[in-house]
Amino acid sequence: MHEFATEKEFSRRNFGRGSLGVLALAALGGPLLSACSPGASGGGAAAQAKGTLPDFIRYEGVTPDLKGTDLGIPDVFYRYPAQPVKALGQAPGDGKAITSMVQTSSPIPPGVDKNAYWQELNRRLGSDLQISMTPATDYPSKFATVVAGDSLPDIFQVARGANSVPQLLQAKAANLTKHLSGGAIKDYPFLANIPSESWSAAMFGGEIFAIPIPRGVLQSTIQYRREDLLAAKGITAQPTSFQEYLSLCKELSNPKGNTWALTQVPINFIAQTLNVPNGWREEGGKLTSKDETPEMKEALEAGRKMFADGVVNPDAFAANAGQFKQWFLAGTAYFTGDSYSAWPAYYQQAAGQEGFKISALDVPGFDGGKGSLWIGSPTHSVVAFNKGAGDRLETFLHVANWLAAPFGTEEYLFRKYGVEGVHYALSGTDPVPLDSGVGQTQLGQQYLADAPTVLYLPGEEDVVKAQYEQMNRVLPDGTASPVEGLYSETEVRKGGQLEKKLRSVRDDILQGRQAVTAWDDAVKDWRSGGGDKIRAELEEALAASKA
Amino acid sequence: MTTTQYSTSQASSGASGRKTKAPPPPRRRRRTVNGVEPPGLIMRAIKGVVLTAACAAVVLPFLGILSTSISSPEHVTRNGGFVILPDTLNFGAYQSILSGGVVTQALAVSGFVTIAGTLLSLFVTSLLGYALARPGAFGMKAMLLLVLFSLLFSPGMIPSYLVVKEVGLIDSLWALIVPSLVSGFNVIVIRAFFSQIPSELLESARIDGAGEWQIFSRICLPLSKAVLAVIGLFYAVSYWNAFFNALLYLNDSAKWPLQLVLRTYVVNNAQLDQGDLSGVMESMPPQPSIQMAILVLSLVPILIVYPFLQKHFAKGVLTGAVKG
Repeated sequence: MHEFATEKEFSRRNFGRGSLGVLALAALGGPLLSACSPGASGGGAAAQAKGTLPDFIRYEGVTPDLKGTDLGIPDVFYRYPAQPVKALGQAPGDGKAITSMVQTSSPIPPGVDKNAYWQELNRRLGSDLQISMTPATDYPSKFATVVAGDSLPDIFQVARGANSVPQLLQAKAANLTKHLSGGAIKDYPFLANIPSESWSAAMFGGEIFAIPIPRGVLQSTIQYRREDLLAAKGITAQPTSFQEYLSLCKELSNPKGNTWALTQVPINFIAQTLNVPNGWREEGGKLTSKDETPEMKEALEAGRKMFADGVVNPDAFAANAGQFKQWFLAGTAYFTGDSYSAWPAYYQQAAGQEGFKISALDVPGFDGGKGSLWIGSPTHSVVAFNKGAGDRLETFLHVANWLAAPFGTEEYLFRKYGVEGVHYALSGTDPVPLDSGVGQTQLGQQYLADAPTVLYLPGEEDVVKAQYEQMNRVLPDGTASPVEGLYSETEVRKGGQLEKKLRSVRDDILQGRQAVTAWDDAVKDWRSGGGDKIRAELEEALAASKA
Repeated sequence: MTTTQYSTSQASSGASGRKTKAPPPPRRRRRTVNGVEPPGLIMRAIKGVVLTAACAAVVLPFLGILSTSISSPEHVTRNGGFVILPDTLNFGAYQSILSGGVVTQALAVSGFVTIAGTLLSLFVTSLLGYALARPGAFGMKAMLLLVLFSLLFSPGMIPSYLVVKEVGLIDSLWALIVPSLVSGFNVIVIRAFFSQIPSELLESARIDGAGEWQIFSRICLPLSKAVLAVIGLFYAVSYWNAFFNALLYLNDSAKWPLQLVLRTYVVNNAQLDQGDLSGVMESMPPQPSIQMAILVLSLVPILIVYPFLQKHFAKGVLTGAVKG
């Protein structure tokens, strides 16, 4: 779709110009994030047809309790293996320092001189791994600045929503094709253990310029429910239609008791019950945005009704994701939308709440039958290596390989939990983080390279089993985005801004400030403002990927 | 004569018809303050209510932050993440924050940047303000225009980064000070203050043999304590609150100031909508009590400084505002 710019063409000025747009969007309150939709996660579709993906060689060294599926459902482990396999014989580093740059969603850890975990990591790697961490919300700004200043480190996570990613990587990142393409990846067995669907986001122009951070289906957003609170009211059955759900929500809401059924209007969930497409609907190579479908207007009308019926926390439109989590944990809401990855995290945060139990709604059809879950992108982001790596490139790849050692290995145990007695204690064979060490292990190393995710929550066999079963019930009917891994420059540059405008109208409609008919004008504006261009670019990329 | 007759007849008719009206009591003089009558009871009550509400609007969030920081995590969670009154005195959040060493180190960094930055900024700004306040100084107009220009246009993030990189300040704490050493607004304020010092005073000093440096340091500065206090406060607050320059210029998180560390606790996951939860928000935000505890830590130093500088505040700001 896009001709690659030469290094000269990918000038600081070009990137800066685009970056200003990114930053302007960031200043507008995070619409950048919406550019992180699967379609914007990178990938040169035109070239994928020509390039060769790395072979997928599943790591068989550890046997899961429940095996994952090709749909992206992860392996399940009830407990950590008693004798973790030492998967790699020698340290991957070359004794020299390795610089890197990643985002982080965790509080910042102590510096390396006061961090026993970091020191041990360096010892095991055989190189000093210098990690420059940036809060996730600010990472696009930092990334744009560092690129413009030509200060990229040895290994860098490409910011989600960054501009001109194909051009950027060709100009600034090492070409990994000969090291990873096809069977060549077998030298890096843990990178080979990353499923193929994640690699499409790391290929540009038929060549591999990055390694993906895989997430399987965990980035899909589902509707959680407080199983314990509902059971106390004698409610165990799942709603089988929107009307049933709405009735249930009305029954549960008690504004005088400061309790509402929902943290926010579950517009995405309603859209899924109406089988609104996941981002785009593809028919004969032609794309239709989910926002253009008549079902989306039905979803808006249903959402508006929910809000008008008083089943949603009235502060929903002023609150943020962190507050939704708190309301849900506090039991002042019975349902909330969140990603699959939050399932075990809720249990960890609710430790101390007697009988805390959550589950997730299946996706019913709006009028009965079945809806379709929007399956999230299998790739969180991609990580590239500095073009100037020279003969150290293989060392960097071996380090990435070490960092991608899968669950059940000794390397994974150390990477995620640290050192026994210092950062965790064993409960049976399961590591239990110690308060004294928990802050040290969050270096953002999971954004340099990572293993495929697994479902594992020590001591909570029922919890992971329930999640696995829910996934198996829902995901076979789920819908993946037809433009997954395809790249549209207009979407990256303008998509967030356009999406923000749409969301503003959406929120007005849901709160009853505008009629649902206002949606038509909003979509018209979206199309003329860049939506049609995004569609054209994605259609072109789609056609090329099928060629 | 006619008048007297009329008066007599009035008096006689009054005596015969009805009783003479008693003279009205002397009108009670209302107390005034500076010639303005104080408000009545109702108005005072309304004022009291309004002021109390205004104070509550300011104090309650602070109280909530403090209470949440010292409540048990369970109590906070039960109440949806924010409480006005604590259930117990639980300092676990503070222990948790201060035990890792990250926050204490960040406090030290912020302290250094704020103190060193404020002193240097005051020094440089007052020098520049003094030069610009002397009519006829060489290049004054051009320099003044440059200062005004900096008020209207900022250099932008990437050009600033390139300059900081080229002068070798990446990963240095001086990168947090040098680029923001001079604020155009503060230069204008201090220049206005210096401009109103009588030129006769400076002339007499000059006749006594004082040079420019002596005039500046021995006459102008001692007369400018109020404005220096205010500008010092402006600088201190801006150095204390700055986080974005640290984000860009410091790769080593061990050198981060408190506000940036605070950001990783409080803001990191707070700006997301439902559609954005996937991927970006991969970990749960820290317990609210920890978030609030770190807010308290970041607020306290500035709250301590304010009362000491308050007396200078109005005077210094008004000078700049009126004479600018």
